[in-house]
Amino acid sequence: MKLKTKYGTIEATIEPNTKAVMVSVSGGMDSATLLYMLCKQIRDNKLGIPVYTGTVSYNYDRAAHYNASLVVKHMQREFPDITIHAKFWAGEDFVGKVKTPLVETMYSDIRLKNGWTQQEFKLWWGLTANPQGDSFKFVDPDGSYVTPRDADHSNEKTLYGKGFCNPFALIDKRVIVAAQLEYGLFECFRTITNSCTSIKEYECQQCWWCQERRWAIEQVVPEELKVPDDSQPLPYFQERGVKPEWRAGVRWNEQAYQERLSMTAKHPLEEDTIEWAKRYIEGQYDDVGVNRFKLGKGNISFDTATRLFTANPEGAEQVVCKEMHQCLALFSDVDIIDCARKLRLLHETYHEK
Amino acid sequence: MEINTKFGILEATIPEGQKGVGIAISGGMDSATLFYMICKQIRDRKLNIPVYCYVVAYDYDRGSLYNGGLVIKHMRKEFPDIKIHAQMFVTTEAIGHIKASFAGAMYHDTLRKNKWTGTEFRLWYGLTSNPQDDSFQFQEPKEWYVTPDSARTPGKIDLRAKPRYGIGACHPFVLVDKRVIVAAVHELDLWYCFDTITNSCTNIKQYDCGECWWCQERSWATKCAVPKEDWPREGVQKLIHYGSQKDIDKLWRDGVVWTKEGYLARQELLKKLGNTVTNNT
Repeated sequence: MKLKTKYGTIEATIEPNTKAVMVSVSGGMDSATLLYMLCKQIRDNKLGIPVYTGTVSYNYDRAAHYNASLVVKHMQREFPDITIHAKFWAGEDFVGKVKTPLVETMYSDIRLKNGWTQQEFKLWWGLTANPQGDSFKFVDPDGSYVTPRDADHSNEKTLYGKGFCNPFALIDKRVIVAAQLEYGLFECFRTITNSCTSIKEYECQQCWWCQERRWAIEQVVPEELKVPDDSQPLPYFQERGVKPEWRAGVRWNEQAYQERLSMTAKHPLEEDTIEWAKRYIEGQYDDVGVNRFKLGKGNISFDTATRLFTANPEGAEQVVCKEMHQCLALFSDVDIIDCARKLRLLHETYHEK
Repeated sequence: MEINTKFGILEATIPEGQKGVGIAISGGMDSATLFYMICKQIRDRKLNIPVYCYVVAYDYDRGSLYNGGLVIKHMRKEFPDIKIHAQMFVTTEAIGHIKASFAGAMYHDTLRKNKWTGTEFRLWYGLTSNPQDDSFQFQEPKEWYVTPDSARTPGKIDLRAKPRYGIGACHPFVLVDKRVIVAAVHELDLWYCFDTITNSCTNIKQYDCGECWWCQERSWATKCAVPKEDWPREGVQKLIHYGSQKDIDKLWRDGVVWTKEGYLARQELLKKLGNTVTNNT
C-alpha cells in the first residue's frame, strides 16, 4: 500500500503468505497510521489475517497505556471485520531503554505459540526519520528531555526484515501527517494520540517529540484543522461539525460513519452494542431527544428536570433510580445487549429524522 | 476481614454465597487495599471465586490505566491461585462525573452474562470518607483542581446511596478516612509496593502534582499513619528510594508484599500450584 504526498511517499505493504501482523503501538501518530494502513490492506485484499498490537507502559511513559488503548479501541470499531488482539505490559521500573525488547518478547511469544516463521509473522514499527530539511528548528526546553532518535538509523532499521519491518524509517513525520489527512484520519489521531515524552506531564509542548509533532502539523495541516493552544481537540473538532456518532472509528466523517454502520451490521461487535448503552448512560439522551424507551415488556423513562430514571419492569413495581444501571438490574426479562440494540435503533431513527 | 489500626478499624468482609467479586479499580491506594483484602479472604476462606476488576480511563484521568494495570498485574502475581479478570474502558470524552456508571455498566455486563444476581455478585468500591478531623489542613493550590466529593463529608454520608454492604454495590470503607487505609497498608506489609505503584493525583496535566486536594490528602495520611523512616523522599523516585533505603531486592517486587518472606511465600505457593497456576503470568 503506497501513498504519494507532497512531502514524500509513504509505503507499508503486507507481503504474500503472511499469517498475521503485529504492530508496536506506542500511543503516537506514527504507529497508529501504520496500524490503519495494515488493517486497510487486510480488508481491501481480503487477507483474512489477524492483527496483534503490543504496548509497553512504564514509570516515565504512563500515558502510553491510555493513548494506545484509544488507538486500538477506535481501530477495532473501524475494522469490525478484522480480529485485533491487544497486548499490554506495564511496569513500575525504568524500562525506557529495553522497551523494544519487551515488545519483541510479546511478539516472540505469539509467534512461537502459533508456530509461525519470522517470514509469516512480523513485528511492525512505526519509527520515522528525524525531520528532513532545515525547517524544523528545535528550541531547547528547560530541564532534561528525551533526546531524538539517532540521526541516521537507516542502516540498522531495515524496511522489511526477517521478523520485523520499519517501513517508515526513511520518511519524516510530515509524510505521516499528510497521509492522515489523505486517509481522513487526522481529526481522530490529533485527538487520541500523544507524542510527549516528558516524565512529569502528559503534554508538555516543549520536549523534542512535542516540538516535532507541532512542526509536522504546522507544515502540513490546513489552518482550519489546526487546534489552537487554548483549545481541546475534541470540542474543537465538534464545533467544526464532527458529530459524536462519527467518532466511533478512526475516520471522523459522515461517509465513513455510514460505511461503518453497514460493516458493523455484517460484523457485530459485542462491545459495540454495549457502547450504545454506555452512551445513553453518558447523557446523550439529551442530544437525541429520547426520554422513554421500551425495555423487554416494560420501559424506562428519564425525567430531564429531576434527572431521575423511572423503571417500569413487567410484573414489578415502578422504581425511581438515580443511575441508569440501577434500573437495568430490575429488568429480569432482558439482557443488557438487547437493551443496547434498542437504544441504538432509537438513536439512529432520531438522526434519520 | 478486619484490621485494627490506631485510627480506626478497616473492615471488608465477603458475605456468604458470593459467586464472584467485582471491584472498581482506580489506580489509587484505597481500591488497591480493598482488592488485596478481598483476595486474601478468597484464599484464606477457600472461597474459590473469581474477581472482576473494572478500570475506567478518560481524558482527565489518563494515568488510571497505567496505575490500575500495575495494581492488577502485581495482585495477579501475589495471588496466582485466584482467577483475576480485568476489563478496561477508555474514552477521550469528559466523563468524570459519571465514571462510576461506566464501572457499573461493565459490572452489569458480567452479572448478566453469568446469570448472577446482585446479592451473589456485587461491585465493590474503595471509596473512603474525607478527613475526619482538623489535622488535615488543605493548602489551596495555585491552579484549578478537582474538588473533594461533598458526598464523602464525614457525618453527611448517605448510606442509602453508598451502602457499606448493599445489593449490587458495597462501599465498606465509606465511614473511615485515608489514615485508616494507609495504616492498614503499612500493617499488611504492602506499603512499599502500594506507595510506588498507586497514584492519587487528579491533576489533568501532570502525573503527580503534589498539590491537588487528593495529593495533599495522601500526603497527610502518610504523615499521620506511617513511621517517618518509611516516608517517601521528595524529589526521589519512590522505586529508587525504597529500593535503596530498604534494600528491596528486584526479585521481591513481583507481588505486592515486597519483603523476602513475601517473596519466599509466593515461590512456595507457585511450587505447590505447579501447572495449575490460574493467572498466566
